[in-house]
Amino acid sequence: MLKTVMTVLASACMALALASGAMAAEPIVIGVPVIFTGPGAFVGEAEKNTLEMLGEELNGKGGVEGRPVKFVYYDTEGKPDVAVRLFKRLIEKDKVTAILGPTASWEAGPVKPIAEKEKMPTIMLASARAIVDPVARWVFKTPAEDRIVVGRLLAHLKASGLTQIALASSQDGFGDGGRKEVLEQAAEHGIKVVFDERYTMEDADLTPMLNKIKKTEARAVVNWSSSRAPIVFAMNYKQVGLALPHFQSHAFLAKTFLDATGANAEGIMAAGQKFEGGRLLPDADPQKKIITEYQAAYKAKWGKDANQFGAGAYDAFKILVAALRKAGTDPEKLRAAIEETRGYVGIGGVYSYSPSDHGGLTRDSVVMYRVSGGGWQLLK
Amino acid sequence: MLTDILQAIFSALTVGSIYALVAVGVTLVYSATGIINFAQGEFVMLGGMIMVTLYGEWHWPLALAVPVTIVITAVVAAALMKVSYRPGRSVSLVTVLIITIGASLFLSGSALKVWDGDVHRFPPFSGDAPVTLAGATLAPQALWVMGTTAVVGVALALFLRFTIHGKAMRACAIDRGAAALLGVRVRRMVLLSFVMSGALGCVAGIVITPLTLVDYSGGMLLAIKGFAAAMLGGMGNVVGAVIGAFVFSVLEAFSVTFVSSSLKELVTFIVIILVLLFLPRGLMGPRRVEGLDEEDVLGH
Repeated sequence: MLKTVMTVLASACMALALASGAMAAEPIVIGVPVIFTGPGAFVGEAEKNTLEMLGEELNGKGGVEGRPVKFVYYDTEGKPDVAVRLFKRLIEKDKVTAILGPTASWEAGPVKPIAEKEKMPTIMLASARAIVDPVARWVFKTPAEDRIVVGRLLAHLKASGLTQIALASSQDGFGDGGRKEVLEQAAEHGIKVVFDERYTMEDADLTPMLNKIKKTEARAVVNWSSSRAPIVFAMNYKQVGLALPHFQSHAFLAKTFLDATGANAEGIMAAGQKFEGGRLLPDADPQKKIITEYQAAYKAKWGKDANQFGAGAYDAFKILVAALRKAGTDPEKLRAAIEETRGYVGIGGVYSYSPSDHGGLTRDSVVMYRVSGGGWQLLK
Repeated sequence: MLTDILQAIFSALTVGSIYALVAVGVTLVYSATGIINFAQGEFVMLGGMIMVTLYGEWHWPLALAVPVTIVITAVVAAALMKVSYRPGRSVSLVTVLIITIGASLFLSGSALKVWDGDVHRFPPFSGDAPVTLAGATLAPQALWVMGTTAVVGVALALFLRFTIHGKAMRACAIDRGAAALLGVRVRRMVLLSFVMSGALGCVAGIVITPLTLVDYSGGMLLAIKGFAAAMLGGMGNVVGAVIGAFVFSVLEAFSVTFVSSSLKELVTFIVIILVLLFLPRGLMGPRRVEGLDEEDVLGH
């Protein structure tokens, strides 16, 4: 009898101890709806790898005020309807404190009103301007939108006296977005677009279009496309012997483009965030340390090069954790704390959110690059 | 003006040769089996990707890298035949079509795992310095593509018309049952057609990659262009596939030059739809039903 009582008591004590232990370390759950399958799979992979790395580090140091963070990952498959469903599931079933994602601009659109309605602090990892314009109280983002990059590029063109430009872009979300920004902002920078043609991303040969540019008054050529198109463009550009200054979008900054184009890329210029050129930045640049350290840590842990998408997740997580430390997990307080982020030095730039700006970046986060000697160099 | 026209012609010849190499592979499998192989573009992708590794990264000599690449791709094509071709079982052509689409997704997904999501290229065989004629330019690699298309097109047409295996293959297309009764080993012919189209796609990938680049997801797009060209020329006709491919590319290049590159697809597809409206079996297609019967399409 006594033995039984002792056993019951002992197990009750143990259960209590376990329960209180669990109480003390109740995790903060963060939802991460990103793309893990399909053509965009590498994006979700980079984001997850980054968050796993940062979460491990944070939890090793005692988490947020003693509470560890825990991620719930869902695969949105790059589909808006799936993203919407999973976003709701994170809120209703998983009871998450905050959400980092989704990744694609076309997923972000339909998800935005849900975050707003459910009052869910959300930092999106997509770049579209529509995410933060008009401002939604509960929705923020970290990647820079085309508007900022284009603005920097046009300012550079103007400063170089290249006021008449030929514009080429691909007929897809990326190309259309860049084209729209160039056309909208050209006038305010005193730049005239004298040639404006669009092609498709799968075009194997662009020489007839490039040949037409020769006969225009253009003093420089700007191309806005992603994936294989800018490479074909750059090779055809050399082939038809166009000698005008050649500008590409920030999509061209990935290392693969230089590998693929080789000597054909010499002299090409592009505006882009500091991530790709982290090691080129002057030591005085406040972002240099954080960018190069992230790139080294990622490479060491995952054996692959980090990319811009993982960097977006990095900044979103750091901003969220800082807000959690400050305000705890109460949704309204957390939202307000995110909005009060000022001067956070991140990989994507120096972020300062405000009630009217949930993108947080300015043109200062963008620099001009030029291919020289087979690698990117910073333009002054 | 002369330069513009010449540049458009050069572009059309380059792009047309690329389409033709894919279209010929599509049409070859069709002519032997009645199957429209949507995985044809994946053979092109595989050819390009394997070459990126063997030739671009490991620096094997061309004479070794090319045959090894072709053999690997042909083996993959043979495996595809084993899963997609099931004579005697009541499997409709539509089902087989879906199998080839599934195979296409499987192959591109596998390529993503084996390689990565990036765009790749290896150096052109004869350098980058363009050939110039009256102000118009042509990349030296484009000459390789055109030459390959010409050799492959002629060799295939001769093979199908004059060799016993080629004739057997065509017999299978007309009526597999009758061909079998006449002693044609149908299964072997079908395997041969898959292996040949795999090798063809692979060769296409090898010669076009320095121009068009390659990534794991590019196969399906190529297959669609190749399929459209093959349809335009007349499904099952090798010469027709080549002609269809060039009609396609000429339309594209000239609509870019004289209209706008934004309207290129529109102009091209309007013409193609018109052709198919009045010549439903394509420019060079048979004037009577062969291979793909209506009831086959409907799955009985």
